[in-house]
Amino acid sequence: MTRDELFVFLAMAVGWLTMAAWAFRIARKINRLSRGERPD
Amino acid sequence: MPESDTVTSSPTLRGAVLVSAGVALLLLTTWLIFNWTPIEVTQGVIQRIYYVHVPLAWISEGAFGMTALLGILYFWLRDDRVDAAAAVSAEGGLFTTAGLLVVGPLWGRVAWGTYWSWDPRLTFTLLLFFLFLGYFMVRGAISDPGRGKRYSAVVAVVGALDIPMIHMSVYWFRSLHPEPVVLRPEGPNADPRITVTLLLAAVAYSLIFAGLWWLRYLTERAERERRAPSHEAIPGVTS
Repeated sequence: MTRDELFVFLAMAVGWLTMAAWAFRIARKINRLSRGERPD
Repeated sequence: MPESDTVTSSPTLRGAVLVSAGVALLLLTTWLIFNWTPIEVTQGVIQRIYYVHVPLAWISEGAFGMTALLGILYFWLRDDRVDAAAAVSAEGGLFTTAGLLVVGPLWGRVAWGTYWSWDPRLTFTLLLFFLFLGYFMVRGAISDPGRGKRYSAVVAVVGALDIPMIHMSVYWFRSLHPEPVVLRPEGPNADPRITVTLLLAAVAYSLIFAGLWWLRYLTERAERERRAPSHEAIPGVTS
């Protein structure tokens, strides 16, 4: 794999991870709410 | 009531369906990038970052624009739901701008030989990230929640001036950053397959963003309701 190909894969991973990070934060909040815990 | 009606009537599932549709389209787009879309002649393989970079840029600017519009609406209506929607837009924009500021330098390292340059468009985009941060810092630093909401709305409305600056900076200033390829008055000037793939990627990321936005809005409302226990819980999120 060349450096350019590696950077393309890294960029695509960052795109996915950006959305996944926000989804993870939301999932934690839904989990806390559904357990009746106090919000952050 | 048929089971399908119950599923679609659940607010949480509605958001999950949007996210799932976006993920499916993003998988299809990823396949197209490597199997159908031509490699750009001048830059070669690295140009494929375009299909992540541009959607994240559009969504980041759109999110801050939405935060500003909702900020104006909040001044008019003083409705807590509008403020919640604005805050959720800003939060999503903070994530996408952070992603954009990681992806862009990867492309810059190959195209320009450097990860970062104080180029006008890059600088205005970094400013957008700090505006999103500032929005939450202002909100969090003021003990009176009402004033915090108003002051952060001011940050969003004034900060929205950065959006046209980002778009026009490549025309107004000497810039390393290329001029728009799709959002130009004469229309897109790339190979149609490149434009189609970009638009599909933009729709995919937008669907994911919209689904997450809706889920985050529900949780934000539920959290606010939880802090004010006299109100009813938001269906679909709280147990």
